[in-house]
Amino acid sequence: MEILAQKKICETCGSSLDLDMVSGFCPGCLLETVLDTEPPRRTSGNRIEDYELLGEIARGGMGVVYRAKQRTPSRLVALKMILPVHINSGGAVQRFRAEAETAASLDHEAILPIYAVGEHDGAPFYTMKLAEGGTLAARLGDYEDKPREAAGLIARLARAVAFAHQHGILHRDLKPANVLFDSAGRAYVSDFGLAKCLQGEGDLTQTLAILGTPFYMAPEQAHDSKAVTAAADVYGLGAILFHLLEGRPPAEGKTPMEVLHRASSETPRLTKRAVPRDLQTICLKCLEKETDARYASAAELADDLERFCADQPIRARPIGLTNRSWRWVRRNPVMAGLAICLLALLIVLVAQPPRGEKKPPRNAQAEALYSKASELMRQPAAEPGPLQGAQHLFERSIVLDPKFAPAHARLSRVHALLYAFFSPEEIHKQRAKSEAEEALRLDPKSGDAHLALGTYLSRVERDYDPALKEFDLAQAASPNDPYVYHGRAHALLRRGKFKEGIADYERATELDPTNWNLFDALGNAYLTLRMYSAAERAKKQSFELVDKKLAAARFGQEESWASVYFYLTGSLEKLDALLERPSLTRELDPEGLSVQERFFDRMFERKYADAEKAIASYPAAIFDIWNGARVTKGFLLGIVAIAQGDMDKARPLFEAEARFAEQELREMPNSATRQAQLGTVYAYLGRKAEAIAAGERAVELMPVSKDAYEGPGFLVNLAEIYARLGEHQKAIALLEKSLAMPAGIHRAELNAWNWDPLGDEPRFQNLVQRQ
Amino acid sequence: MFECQLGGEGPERFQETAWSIVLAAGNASEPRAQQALAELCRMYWPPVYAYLRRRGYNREDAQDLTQNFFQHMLQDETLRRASPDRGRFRSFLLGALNRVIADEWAHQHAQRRGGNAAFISMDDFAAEEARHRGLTSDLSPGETLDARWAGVLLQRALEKVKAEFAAEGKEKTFEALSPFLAGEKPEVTYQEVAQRLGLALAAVKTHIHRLRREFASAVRREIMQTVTAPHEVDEELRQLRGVFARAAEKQGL
Repeated sequence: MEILAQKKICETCGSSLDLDMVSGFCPGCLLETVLDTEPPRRTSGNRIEDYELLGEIARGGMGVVYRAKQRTPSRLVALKMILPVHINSGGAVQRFRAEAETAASLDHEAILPIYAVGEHDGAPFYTMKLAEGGTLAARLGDYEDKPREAAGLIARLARAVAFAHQHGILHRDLKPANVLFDSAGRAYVSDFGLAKCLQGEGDLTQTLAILGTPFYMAPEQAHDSKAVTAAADVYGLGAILFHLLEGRPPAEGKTPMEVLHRASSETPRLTKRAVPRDLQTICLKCLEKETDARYASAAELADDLERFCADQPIRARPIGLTNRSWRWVRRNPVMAGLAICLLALLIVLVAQPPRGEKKPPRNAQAEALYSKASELMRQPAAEPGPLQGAQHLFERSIVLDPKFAPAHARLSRVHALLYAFFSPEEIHKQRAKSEAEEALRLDPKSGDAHLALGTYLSRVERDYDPALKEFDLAQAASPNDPYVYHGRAHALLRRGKFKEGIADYERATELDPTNWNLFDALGNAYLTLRMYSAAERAKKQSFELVDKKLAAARFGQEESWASVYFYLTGSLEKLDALLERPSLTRELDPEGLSVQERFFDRMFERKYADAEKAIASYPAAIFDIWNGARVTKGFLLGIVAIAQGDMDKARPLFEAEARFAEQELREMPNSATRQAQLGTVYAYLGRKAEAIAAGERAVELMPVSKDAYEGPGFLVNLAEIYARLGEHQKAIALLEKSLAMPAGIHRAELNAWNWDPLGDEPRFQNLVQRQ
Repeated sequence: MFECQLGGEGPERFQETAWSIVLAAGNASEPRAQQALAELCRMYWPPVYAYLRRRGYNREDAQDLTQNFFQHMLQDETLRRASPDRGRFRSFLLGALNRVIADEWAHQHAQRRGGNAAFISMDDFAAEEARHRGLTSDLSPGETLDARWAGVLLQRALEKVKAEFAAEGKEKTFEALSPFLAGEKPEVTYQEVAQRLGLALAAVKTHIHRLRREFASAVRREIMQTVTAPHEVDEELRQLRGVFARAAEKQGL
């Protein structure tokens, strides 16, 4: 490298330098360094970690499959790389890895082995056995008029799928392209469970864009991609068989939506005479619209196909009277209702069924998965990982035993908590509700089920009074379940019943004194209610409970502990000490929380240049700041500018933020947080009427009367809007109101820069000085 | 909006590649895509300007054209749609720019759009213009774009690594070691650096190794933002390096 500011040519590499020098360095030399430098476990060139890419095998909507050479052990593999853009929500990479690792544990002769799972520049990938014989999609014609061979192939695939189901893994995307052949012509199923990770959360169009046209997708998958069961895989196998026999998929259409519509409305017909009747029956039984009418398992399908191949009688019956009348029932529910009543009456009169519900013996593996998942739920929920892991295990438990009520109940709670803490997405909302309902349907008296419904009502719907009723029912059924008290405490606080809420939180920690989450919640409650010494005690305890290995969670604890200190003393000293700690790496703080913390702390101290410095170089464009509000980096830079009185600089930043906030609000029009954020930005832009309307709407959405715990925050937000727009008396009145509330603003916060517009008001000075 | 953060809650942020987001979005009004594209444009406008200057546009015309090109890029979907080459952001941008120039589209729009909020500030233009004063190389316009492109991304990567060192209170280490980022530097020896930093020789070597690795990884991350598949990163690196190598040949070295 040569620093040659005057000369025009780099002496080392001869590059022309008159265009560009990078901080005095020659760009050609810098690039050379990059090309020469081995990133960890990788060399430059066409390499991904330990693999040398030899060529592209296929490229699809979701990623690229390469033919690759692994260095150790030395072998040829197929490497599938998922483009990061398809892994689009928080934690999805981990979820993908978990899913791929689970799939890698499947050891079956007809399942394509996964060798390794990894990540490369943020894109997850996995390697698998290189199937030299290509995919079934390229061999469909080979089975034309060879029904026996087709049956034999599907029998093999069905065994593989059955094996996976026994291990709690659904495929979800069976299609000819996912059936691969080795050089000896043996068939393998590939990509178990991965479709789940690639589906746009609840968004069918996006899912289809990634997974391709759903020729083999079960109709119920189109309605609720997350609620599929083993029956969907039975459909997929049947659809592949149909294609082999008939030369086309069971449903066709010009667009994916048309295909799905036909799959759910039309009855497929096999027209080729060469297809034996029994095989037709087997195939069409897989393609039944009603999941209950299909084979109960992939194993049963395999059994029947093997019987067919051995010329034995098959079990499946052609669609007969019972089935047809059931179809009629589905089409004519009202008339059928009457008929069923009469029929039921007859049956009751003829044969009295045994009283009382006999519980089926539990599936031991489902139980084991359930216990493991429940243990994960106790882990510190400072990040979504444990909850996502629990979700995954509960789902697998339910695949093994669909009537396992407690697993449904806890899965519901996992979704509610993910919704409340990490990602308020529609899918979590729906699943929290449907799983709680399923749990109640299966076991109407279970405390777990009422707890689940209460948790859903309170954390997702914020409907606290009905939630409290559910928690009371749950308490009656399970009086020693700490989570019942934990859930009820949360709802009680929201209803302004602070004393009772705190008592419930305390009770929860007594019942499970080693559960970090319970102490953490207790500490946060004390903190919000400005009971600082009690908060310090609870936080201290929760800190001691954090596993020393969970560095990130420990950091989170220390941070909240340090903020207790700020509230107790008004000093940021402890927080700063924590933030400046050299061991604070990105691993410890992947969300850049410390960056924000540093930013807001410096803003609070009015060290604006330092605040700007804190975020300027941070790579994220969007920050999560409070209660799920997301803001652009521009917004943060904008408030620095406005605090310094530089409106010219702030204006374009706020205009961009306003567009972003408007879009955020369109996505969740009833989010008080998002209304509040938009109001704030409008206020900074001087758009008075809109700002006040948004701020008031936020208060309306989350009034103190509905939520005594979070509501005061929105009053403060409205106060800030008023303050910014010159309505000082209104602002001060709201601040006075909020200060009088147990969960209201803390006086120390009134010293922050954002209240400067009120600085000259004696009434405001009075508020500040009173501390 | 002052809010003291409690606990470590908050969704984790996955760093997607900006260009993939743009490509994956079905339409331009998709806000994430809009934002990603805006961010990419904000980063990579200087190469476009350099390209136009090299093509012979005078300062004023090049500025107008750049300004209008990017404003239009962000507001008008047809420009994005019409691009046949949507592979990498660099080739996409060049393709769109050439079409715009060929259509003389920008001139018409320049008149209509005058007075709009500027995408690039005059100060930024002035700084960029300064780079082109006394331009003597015989890089083609396309090579000019690539060279400037490399400059932008290297600069960003360098600043990020510097900030990482600074965040750990190691600005001085960075300053002392950064000369080794671009090969061996004969004037400064490892020993001198070791003395200056008060470190053992082995430690200096380790630090240099780490610095180079972090820089390389930062550069790769930058490039990753503008391509769609990870294997394209190294291709992109080699292509950009190639421009400088060709420049060296042209200089007769």
